[in-house]
Amino acid sequence: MASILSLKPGESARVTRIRAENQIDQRILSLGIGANVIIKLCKVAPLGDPIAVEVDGSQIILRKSEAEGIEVEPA
Amino acid sequence: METVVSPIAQRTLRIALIGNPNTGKSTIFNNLTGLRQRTGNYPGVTVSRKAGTMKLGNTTAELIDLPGTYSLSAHSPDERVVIDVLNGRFKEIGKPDLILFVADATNLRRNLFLASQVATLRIPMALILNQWDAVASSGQQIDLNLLKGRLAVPVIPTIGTKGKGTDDIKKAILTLMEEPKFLPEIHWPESMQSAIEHLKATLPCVGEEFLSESETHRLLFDTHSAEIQRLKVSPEEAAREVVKAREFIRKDGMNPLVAEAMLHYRHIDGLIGGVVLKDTQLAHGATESIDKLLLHRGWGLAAFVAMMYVVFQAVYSWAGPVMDVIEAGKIWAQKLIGPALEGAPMLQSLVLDGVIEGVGAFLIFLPQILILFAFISLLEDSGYMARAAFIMDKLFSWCGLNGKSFVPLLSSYACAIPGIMATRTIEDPKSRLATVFVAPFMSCSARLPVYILCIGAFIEPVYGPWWAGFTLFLMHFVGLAVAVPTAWFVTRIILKTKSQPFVMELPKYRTPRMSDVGYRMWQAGWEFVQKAGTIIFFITIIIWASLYFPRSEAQEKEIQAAFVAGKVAEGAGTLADIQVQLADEDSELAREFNLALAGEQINQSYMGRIGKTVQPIFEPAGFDWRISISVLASYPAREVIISTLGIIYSLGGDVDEEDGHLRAALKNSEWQEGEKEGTPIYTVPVVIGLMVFFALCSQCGATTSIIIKEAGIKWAVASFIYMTVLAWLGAVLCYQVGTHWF
Repeated sequence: MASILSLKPGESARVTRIRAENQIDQRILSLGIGANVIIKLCKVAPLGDPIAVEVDGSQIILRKSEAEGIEVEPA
Repeated sequence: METVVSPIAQRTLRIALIGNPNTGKSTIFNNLTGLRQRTGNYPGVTVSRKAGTMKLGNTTAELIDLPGTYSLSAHSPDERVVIDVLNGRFKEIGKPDLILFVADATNLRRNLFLASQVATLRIPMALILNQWDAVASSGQQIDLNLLKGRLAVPVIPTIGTKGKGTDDIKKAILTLMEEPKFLPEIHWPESMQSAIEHLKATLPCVGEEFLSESETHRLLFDTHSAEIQRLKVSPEEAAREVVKAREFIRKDGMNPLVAEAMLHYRHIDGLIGGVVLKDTQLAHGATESIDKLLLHRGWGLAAFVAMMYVVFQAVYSWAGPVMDVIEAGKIWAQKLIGPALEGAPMLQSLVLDGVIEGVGAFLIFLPQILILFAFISLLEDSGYMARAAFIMDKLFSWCGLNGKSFVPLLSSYACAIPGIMATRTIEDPKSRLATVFVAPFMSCSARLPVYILCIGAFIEPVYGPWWAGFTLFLMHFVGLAVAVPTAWFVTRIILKTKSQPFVMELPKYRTPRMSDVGYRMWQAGWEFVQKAGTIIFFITIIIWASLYFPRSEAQEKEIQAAFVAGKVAEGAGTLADIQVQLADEDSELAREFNLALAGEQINQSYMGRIGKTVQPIFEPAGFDWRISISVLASYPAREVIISTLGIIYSLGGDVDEEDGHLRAALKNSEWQEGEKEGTPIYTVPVVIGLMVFFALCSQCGATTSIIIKEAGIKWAVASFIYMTVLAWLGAVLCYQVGTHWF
């Protein structure tokens, strides 16, 4: 299953599941990033990490290590 | 207010303000309370606590501003603050009677997640839809009447930055007091109810109480719940029961760690279905174009560096003139009051060198604090602070900090006091503590005089201006080089964090409101004067006393006799001659005697005695008793070393680091006894060791008191000991390596 990190900046995808192993994943879930939500990889920070994703019209910063648990499929 | 139910009527109404970060919650809080605000910490944790009084018709209410959060999850005692307040677990705060929920109107779905969690507490609620004006510009439409019908609580659109809707909020509060209204609660499936009932029945709290419904949710859903610490049973037993309870959910075909978010969002989608109409094509146009530039790989970094340069320059240089005015005011007050107390030397010294000096010692920091907080407020309110953290995070993440540590640490290069106060912008308490701990290592402006004195007297004449400049440059990195591994050590070993999550919203750009900037400056300044000011004042008085006492007329006569005898031995004149000259206060000799007297009085003071006693400790660093005394006397404020050296070398206390006499005196001073007799005290290794000592040592009473205030006494003591030991090790290393290997 592809992770959100496989997207290029500007690309959108549909979330299939959040791995939900730790509190970071739970934090992501509470932000409304859950199954069937459309997510867009907006930007990668100038130094290569973290990334900014867009969900529901708002942008959220996640470190790459935290975003790994977000699994997506083509929208 | 006659209709209020009795328990509330008998005391002040308690209202909690709750919401996600970046919803304009602070602005709403400012609009409702004005300047009637108080800040502090929640007991036992480092989360800052803000409360205020609001006028409500002809009565008043207490407004508690809870830390901004995305969910009620409580993985640590710090995160538990919100749910603890809502459950009335803090006795001094009490359970809130009403909740004002502040939501960002442009992101209703996500904001309502927290609201839906809060609804399980069954406290009457009003929903504030802030940034109402941004709804249309973000390409959305909200059917307000439909929403009001679905939610059953007062729904108030507001534009906090323009003060719009403030009266409507107050009206809604009055309505709620007459008739409590609740947000529709989530209906859990049967399996979930069984799981909750299981936990409630098996796990009593300390003190025979049971967890509330909302607290039980935290125990059930959070991976590592901080509610476990509240239970009577051991953590292992509690964990076993949690596993059993989660089995109910698992058997129902749901992942217990995902179920809460999934069900709440399903509940919310039911409530707001058809309420929000979106045209995503229109979404945040302006923000996106600004970010194309400000988050660009090249331009973004350049803009960031430029912006931080302005902030640093502002704190470092713009504050200068105001600080000069404060300094001049201090001297003016000393000159004005001095003569009036001529008859009582001890009182005169107490007032001039203790009280006025002590007030000046904390007032001098105010300009930097105010300027920095003006910038912080502008950066945060405009939405840029989150971008700065986004850009800088990579540099900080590996040592356990995050991008938000950048601004506090940069400001600490000017002064650690505003820098440490600025750590309040870091939401994560552990990153915040680590940043507080390493901030004093940044080379602040008070270290500069020591560097300039040492480099000017010993490096430049021998090695030339290029090496002098390079040494000064290197000195600014000594602290940083120590700070980075220290941060790693504090976060990974002391605070035992594996990796700190850095999940943060990138808010839309907004125009900051000047009154909010004003509130922020006023609050930071007033708090500093009130809390740290008193501590700094008392430290100054104590140091004054230890430098002044013991002092007696007999002692002065003894010093005078020794001085006169010395002059006679030098052949400067007969005994009678010298005594006549001394009696004339304007004579050259009398002036010389006064300087010698001041020097000798310091030597004989308690501080001087301690300095001589502890000199053996500094022996491995090559410090003599004079340096040892100066180092000790510099603990309240490191820049004091210059004037202390001036007094000790009988040049008077008003010398500065550029003073030729002081430089000459240092160069000419030699060991007077022991095996090093006749050799210079200030060799290059000693001088470098001295600078390294000042770079690393915790010589600032104001910093220590601000750490006490921001992180607690334990951290302040740890910081003091850690920095002092490191400074000593650094100085010894420089001296030993420099002396024996080169």
